[in-house]
Amino acid sequence: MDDRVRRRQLLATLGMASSGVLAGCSEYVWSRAENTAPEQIALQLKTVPADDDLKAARIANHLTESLRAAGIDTDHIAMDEPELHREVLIERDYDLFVMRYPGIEEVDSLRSLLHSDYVGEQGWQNPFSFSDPTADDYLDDQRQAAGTEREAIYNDLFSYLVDDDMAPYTVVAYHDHLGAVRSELPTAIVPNTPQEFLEAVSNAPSEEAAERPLRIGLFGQQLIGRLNPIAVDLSDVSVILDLLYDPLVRKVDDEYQLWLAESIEWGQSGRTVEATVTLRDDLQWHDGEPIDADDVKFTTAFLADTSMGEAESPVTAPRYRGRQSLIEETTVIDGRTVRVSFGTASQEVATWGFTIPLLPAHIWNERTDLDGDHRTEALTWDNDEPVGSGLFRYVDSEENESLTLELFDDHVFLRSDDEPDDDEPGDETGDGEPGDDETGDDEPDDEGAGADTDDNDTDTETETRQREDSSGTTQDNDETSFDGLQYQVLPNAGAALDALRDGDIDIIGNELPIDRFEDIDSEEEIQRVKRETSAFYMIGYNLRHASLGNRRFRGVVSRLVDREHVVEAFFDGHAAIPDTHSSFVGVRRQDWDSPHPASDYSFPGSDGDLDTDLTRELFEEAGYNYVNDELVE
Amino acid sequence: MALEGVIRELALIVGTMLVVATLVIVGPDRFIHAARGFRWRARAMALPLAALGSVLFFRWWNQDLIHWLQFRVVGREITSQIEKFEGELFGQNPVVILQALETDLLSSFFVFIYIHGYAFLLLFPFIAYFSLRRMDRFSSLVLAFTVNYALGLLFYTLFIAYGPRNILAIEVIPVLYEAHPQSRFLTNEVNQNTNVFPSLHTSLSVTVFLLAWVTRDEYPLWTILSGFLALGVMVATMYLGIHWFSDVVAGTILAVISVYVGVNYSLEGLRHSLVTFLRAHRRRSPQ
Repeated sequence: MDDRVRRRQLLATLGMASSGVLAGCSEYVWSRAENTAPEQIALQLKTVPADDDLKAARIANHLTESLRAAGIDTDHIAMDEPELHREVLIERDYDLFVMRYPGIEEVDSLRSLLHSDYVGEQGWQNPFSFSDPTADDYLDDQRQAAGTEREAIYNDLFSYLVDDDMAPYTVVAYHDHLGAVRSELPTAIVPNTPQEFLEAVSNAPSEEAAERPLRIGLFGQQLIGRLNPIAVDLSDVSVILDLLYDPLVRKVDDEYQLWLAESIEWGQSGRTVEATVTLRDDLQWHDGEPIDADDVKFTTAFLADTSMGEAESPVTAPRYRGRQSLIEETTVIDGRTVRVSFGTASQEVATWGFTIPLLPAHIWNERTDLDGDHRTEALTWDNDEPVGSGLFRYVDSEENESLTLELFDDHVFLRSDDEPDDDEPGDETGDGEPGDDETGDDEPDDEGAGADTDDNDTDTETETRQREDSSGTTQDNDETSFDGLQYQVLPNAGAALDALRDGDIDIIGNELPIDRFEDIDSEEEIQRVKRETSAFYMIGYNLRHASLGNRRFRGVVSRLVDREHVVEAFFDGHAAIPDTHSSFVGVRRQDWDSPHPASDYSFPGSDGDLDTDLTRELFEEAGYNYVNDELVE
Repeated sequence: MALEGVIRELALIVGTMLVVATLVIVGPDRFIHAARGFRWRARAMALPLAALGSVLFFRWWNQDLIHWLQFRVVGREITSQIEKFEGELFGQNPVVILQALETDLLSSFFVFIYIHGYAFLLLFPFIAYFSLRRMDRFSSLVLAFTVNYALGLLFYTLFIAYGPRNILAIEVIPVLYEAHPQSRFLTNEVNQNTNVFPSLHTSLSVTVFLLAWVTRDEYPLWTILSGFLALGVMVATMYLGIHWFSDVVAGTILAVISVYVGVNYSLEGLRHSLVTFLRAHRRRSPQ
């Protein structure tokens, strides 16, 4: 009996105890549910290390300090450019990024950058996960419009993006390219376009110099061993790719010029815009294979699906995606002629589609195998011995140390046996002016004139004629031109400058840090060169982050970088701040902008120091709260 | 080309330092005497040197694999944690505080310490301990270096971190590469800029100093000199904007562990116990 009592007592005690425990627990559960502790907003800001790009690192440093002063828990994470591109542009694994963008060459690029059609893709195809029906409409409409109508659509889009804080990125500053060259070089420029390279290589200062290649030094994390034209986005490498690969039409100084295409005839079939393209005669790839209409057809199909139908859904090439998407179908008419249909795109926009580089079918055909679930060999391939059709041909390379190119003598612009006016990279496509009706007829006329009379050309295109003359001269006296082009990789800017001073290299190819640039002022052997660019530093937002998905939050963050201070302190004045709607989203065209400048993104503070009270007000106005000086959600 | 230039200059300066130090600290008599017994000494050196060599070779041979492991598999990005931790601890980052003292003279001094002083600090003990009557301190040194590199490699694979100059880009100046851009040829060759936690410069220097303390009776002067150089290297890594304070602390801890292992264990002993174990095992398992 005693036993039983004791057992009962024991059970009772245990019951009490356990209910006590549970009671505590449920109270805890309730308190959590009723009063969820607000959590501090946390952001990860990714950028390159200062070793690679001091300006980007400083902008990121400044923004991190501002965000922290505003009560946001911010991590500043550095990674080298290829790794950053992988995390941001492929995996979309970031909250914020600070990056240099090479510049928006044609406004239609905004379509692939912002349209929700591209959310699931890689590269610079909407890396922000921005999905907005209004913006989509503007981007669709501009594609079919031309001239002033198209400008009006863009003006509406720009003010929608900027005034309403919709933009998923913001421009910090447009920077000048700061470089340095040996003083004895006749062309005192850091070449940037194929024509400039041609000119630089064609003008050696002395006969000894003519026996060696023109040597361009690159410093930092350069991957010159990876020369894949459809996948690589690194800015310094893409210049090299422009030398190796030619398009049908190239955009030079805002004008379209016929390149590998001899003529383009525009027509309309129903609502569809079509163009009949004739290739120049007797074109060759660097390996001697002929370039024909099949290569054009292949290129457009291949960029649209690098698996050529093998994959479940198309594996698009991340580069040139916007341009490629303009092209609906390519039909081969004969060996030199293709018909390209652009759907409802206007001719003004469609011409942009012809600037994709041509790829040799016989090489890339073999790279269509799948490598992983949604990748093709073509995208992972290093292509370290590229075969293109550009003005320069690959000779050899040492892994990430040097890369040697030579002039491609069989290039249509360089062949000495041809008549010079056929070689001329100057024929405009007739697309320069936004006039509607005449353009269809304009082209054949222009072409005819170009083919028949020299005088016509000389009168209208003096500048291009000169260019051609200089390259023509090259062909005549070889002794004054360099023996090709060589890239050399150096560990940092200081070492590159030393090499330049010692005459080991002729040109520094990438951006010099400001203080290094300022140092060069009074030297005889080397001189500094500066060029305005349309390249800019930007802050990008990942809209999948709960706070960044809110446009009003983004709007405040976009103000937290003191652009004037950045330009003065980090760029020493060698940059310009955005001041109009379009320039805040990367389009730096005064003639395109609405008259009223945007003044919205003023920094709450001065000289880079944040006024925390003012910033607090801004976030509170946007609907956010502070707890213990921490910005919470 | 440029790399060869840097190495030639380094070899000349450090070579001179080594010769002078050997004459002053070791003494010509002791060194010559030791060199006469080179053969048996070589036999004693072989195993530890082979171990160090294989760790270094492994590291060099598997660069790509390690890079892949570091960035794609196990590596954890900790730069931001270090930076925030130090910010909370000190208010102002110690590197920024140190760099506030910057003068040209101080910069030249620390660049010299970081490159030449460090190379000398690492190489001289090989001569010094080779010249001792017994070779066990030499073995301790090599084993401690081996542990340093092996653990360092492990840490670098586990933790991805950039140095302060890469993050605190506004305030911290990359003094080394500004004063001496060519040195980047050398540092690029032996390391990558994501390997900062822990500071191997610190750990190897402190290792040398701790062993110098152990052998202070033999080389009292070296104890003082190595202490000065090791401290100089520790401060230099921060002053030059290369390492965080945390890297230096972690490097010091790594040094203590390495020296403990180096002094208390020997590869000969390890080999001996391994052989005994295998023999015992074989005897037990013939059926």
